[in-house]
Formats: sequence, structure tokens, C-alpha cells
Amino acid sequence: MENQKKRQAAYMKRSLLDQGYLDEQFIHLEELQDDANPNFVEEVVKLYYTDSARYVRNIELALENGPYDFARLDNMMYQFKGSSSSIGARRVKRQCSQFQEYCNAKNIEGCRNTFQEVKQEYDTLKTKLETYFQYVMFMASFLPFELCRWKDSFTDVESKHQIRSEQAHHHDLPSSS
Amino acid sequence: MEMAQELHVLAVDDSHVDRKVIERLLKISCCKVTAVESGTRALQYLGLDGEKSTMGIDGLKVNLILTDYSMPGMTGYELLKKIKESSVLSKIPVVIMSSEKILPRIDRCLEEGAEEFLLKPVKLSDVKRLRDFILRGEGDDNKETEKNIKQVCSRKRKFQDDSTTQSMLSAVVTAHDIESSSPESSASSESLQPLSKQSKIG
Repeated sequence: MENQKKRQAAYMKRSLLDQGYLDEQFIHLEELQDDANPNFVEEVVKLYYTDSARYVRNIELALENGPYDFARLDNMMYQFKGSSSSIGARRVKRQCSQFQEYCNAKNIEGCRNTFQEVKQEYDTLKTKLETYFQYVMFMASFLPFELCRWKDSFTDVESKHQIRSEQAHHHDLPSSS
Repeated sequence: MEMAQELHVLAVDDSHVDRKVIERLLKISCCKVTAVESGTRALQYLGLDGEKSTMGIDGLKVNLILTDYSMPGMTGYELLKKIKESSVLSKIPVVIMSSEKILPRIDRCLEEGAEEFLLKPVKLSDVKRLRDFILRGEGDDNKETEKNIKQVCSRKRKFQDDSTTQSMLSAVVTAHDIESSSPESSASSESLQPLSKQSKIG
């Protein structure tokens, strides 16, 4: 049973890697976990969310009105990119680089458009990671057939929302382990 | 230099995420870690902020300073300079981390006395290699201590050793790489190539 749980979580992670949302840095972080520190990656990712919220807010404010300080915009995005790189957020990182290129070109429209992409990728990753961690932590005690539903939910946003709301009900059930 | 049971590393990084990660990497490598968020805080900790230095106290002795390059206020380079200018602290090895591989920047840091320049994200193999390097640099009479630390470390560890030396060669730039045209191929994860630069090492 233990192996089955591991396979399921590994499948989800494989999908995230194959679709390019995460890169091997995420794997390196997971390798740092042990029995004494089983939630290390999730803790790091939570810090990433906190930091990111701040970076996004500051960049948003800086993009609002001219005159635009492209050096400052570039620096702020550099920090956001750094954090993203540290957790293996590959797609987010790529959009951050794109933004920096527009900063270098002093192209404010380019910056604005790319920033929407950055936020989009960030939101998507956040949703997927939240699903992944919920699965790893909680679904491990569920039966294997749940894997099929999770597999489908991965690319289908609607069914994912449905499963998440169903899962919310499951939180009320006593633990089966 | 007296050798403590564990290496004490002062990690400096303004990013919460990176501080947490580097702290974990160091702890896994059996190092005591003090993580601070800025160069200013680092100098305060080291006792270089105008007050009397606390370096005389064994418990606070720092064996390695690992600092990010790009930080608001004081950069890692500026911190490096201040440390190397101090008669008390100049012997402490300083390693710079950065997510950008900008050769003039790397050059400048190494010239100023940095031991190494690590590319972010920093890997466990980088940290272990640093640890081994520092241990060796402490002198022959500490071979016993080195053996002890390795024994304690392998008992504590539950994960597989990262023995990929390929990443080490590509991700780490040392003075040796700058000076020679081709990196040495004989590197292993167990031994560190001695830096060939002329300038001061400890």
C-alpha cells in the first residue's frame, strides 16, 4: 500500500515536470526532506507564496504610472525570478526573464503584457502545487482508484474544482490510517 | 585556529526562500547555521558594527560566510570587502552566491578574496564540497575531527549522497577556472581542487 501511495504522488509530480511547470530544482528540494523534516518543500513553497505576493504587488504599483523606472522594475522582477528559480518554478521563471527583456528594451507595454503572463503562470502553478501537496498529505490514506479522478483533474480545471469541493467534505471524515 | 565539532556557517541572503533552503542544505551537511537577511546584520553578528568584536567567544566562531551577491543596501561584494578589510575577520573564508553568471562580477569577487562563487540554486553537492574544503583548510591536526564529523554525518543522514560531479564543474566557478582555459577533469566529490590563485587564503 505504501508503494502505491508513493507511485500516485510520483505520477502527479511527473506530470508537473513533463508539462514544464516545475524543473529538477523541485526534485532537489524534495531530496532534502527526511523523517524529521517531512514537510520541508511545502514550507518553502509557502514562503514563496508570501514573498511572491509582495513582489507582485510592488511590481503592479510600479507599472501603474509613469515615469517608469525600468531599472527598478528589472530589479524587482529579478528578485521574483530568483525565488521562483529556487523552488523550480520553470514557467514562472521564463516569463520573469521575458519581462526583464522588455525592461531592457524600455518597452512598457511589453512589460505590462508579460506581467499578466507572469501572474497567470504563477496562479496556475500555485493551484497545481496546492493540489499536489493536498494529495501527498491527505489522499495517501484514500483508495488507489482515486488516482484516476486525480489524473483527469490535472488537465481539466472544472473537474478539479469539483474534486476539491468533494475533498472538502472528506476533511470531515475520520482518518482511516 | 581551533576546530569546533561542527562548522559554523553564517549565511546571508535577503530572500526568505533562499535562506530557508541554504539553511537546510547546511544542516544536512552537519553545519551549524546562522542565517541573516542583510550584510548589515551579518556585520553586527560578526561584531564589526563598531562594537567590540565577539569573535573571541568560541560559541560564536564562524568558519565560513556564505553570502548572496545581489542584496538591497549592502551587496555581497561590499560585505566581502568589509570582511577582508578587517584584521579580525579577514581569515574567514567568504563564498558568494548568485543566480547570474557574470564573469566580470565573478572576477571582481575572487580578486577581492572570495573563496568561491556559487551559482544559484545552490545544490547539496556544492555545500558538501565547501564543507570539506573548509575542514581541510583548518590544518593537518584536524584530520581526526574531519573523520569524526564524517562519521556523525553519515549516521545522521537518511538520504542518498549526491555524487554528481558534473554539476559541480559547470556550476562552480573558481579562480582556477578563470586563470586556466580548461577546467580540471579530475575533480571528485570527496576532494576539492585547491584554488590556484596567489592571494591570501586564510
